[in-house]
Amino acid sequence: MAAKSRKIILNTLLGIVVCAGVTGYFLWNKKHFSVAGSTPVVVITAAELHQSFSKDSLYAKTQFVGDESNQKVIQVNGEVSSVKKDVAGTTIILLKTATDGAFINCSMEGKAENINTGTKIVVKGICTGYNFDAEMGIPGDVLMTRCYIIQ
Amino acid sequence: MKYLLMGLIAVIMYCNAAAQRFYTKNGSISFYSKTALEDIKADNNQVMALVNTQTGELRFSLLTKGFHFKKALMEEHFNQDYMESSQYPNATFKGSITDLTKVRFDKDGSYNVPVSGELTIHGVTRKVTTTGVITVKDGKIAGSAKFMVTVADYKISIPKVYTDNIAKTVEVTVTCSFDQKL
Repeated sequence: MAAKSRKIILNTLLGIVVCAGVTGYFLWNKKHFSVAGSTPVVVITAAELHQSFSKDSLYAKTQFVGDESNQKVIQVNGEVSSVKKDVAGTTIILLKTATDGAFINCSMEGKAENINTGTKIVVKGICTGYNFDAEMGIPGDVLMTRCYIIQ
Repeated sequence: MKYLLMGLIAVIMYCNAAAQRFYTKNGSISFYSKTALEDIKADNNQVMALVNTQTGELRFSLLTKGFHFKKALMEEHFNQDYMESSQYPNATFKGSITDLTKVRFDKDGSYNVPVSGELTIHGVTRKVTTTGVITVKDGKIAGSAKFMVTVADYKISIPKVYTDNIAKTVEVTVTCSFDQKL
């Protein structure tokens, strides 16, 4: 009887350890959520998005930027100002806003072929905030990462 | 006439000074943590950076949420537990090239320059001194630097369960092409 109980306890413990190990493994190797497959929480124009941040960045954050574990995917319509590559070869697309020298700065995860200055596009991506430092004297950009062109 | 001439000179001088400021909004900063258990790397390619070739002023500003990791869980821990990105959304550097005689912005070349300034991460500001490289080619200016950051200096606490996975000192690499002019 005692041997049977011991066996049950050992098997239960083993089961818990295996479950914990498997859960830990999958959590550790959890992939980034799919931006391409996400439904945007808001659809907005590039000019409106930039204006929201430049007018009241704290309020805009609550609308467009998610928290650490629940990032917000937003969809932005705008006209391409320029297309370039960063040092690692990632494509960056800048969308025009109503402010000279200020853009919606989109770091692409998806393909960005045949996109030229003046093209009107719709981009979906994670909004990370507004990078502006008054002392630098440079118009701030609204930053988006892991972007996809959807139209 | 005298005042007109003085005004004109002032305007020209202002324009010249203004033309000495170059910037980018897509500089890259990455950090690398190496331990026996694992290597962790994260990149941010939306760094705003400015250099003033006349005064040597150097400025950097980035959003910590812009760092991208290979593993989703690492990114989540980085923003939520270590950097507390919602509370401290920016990291900045305010400093300068401390010896401008080491660089010729009007001549192609690669120049090692001493850099010093204040680095703010996680709401903590500390003085940093390092050597950067300024590259001038066909009138275009690029900059790079590598330096070490001790995580505890910036009051970033790592839970005990991960202390063997994350290095106490991480390597920071900066690469910027200052392709815009103010």
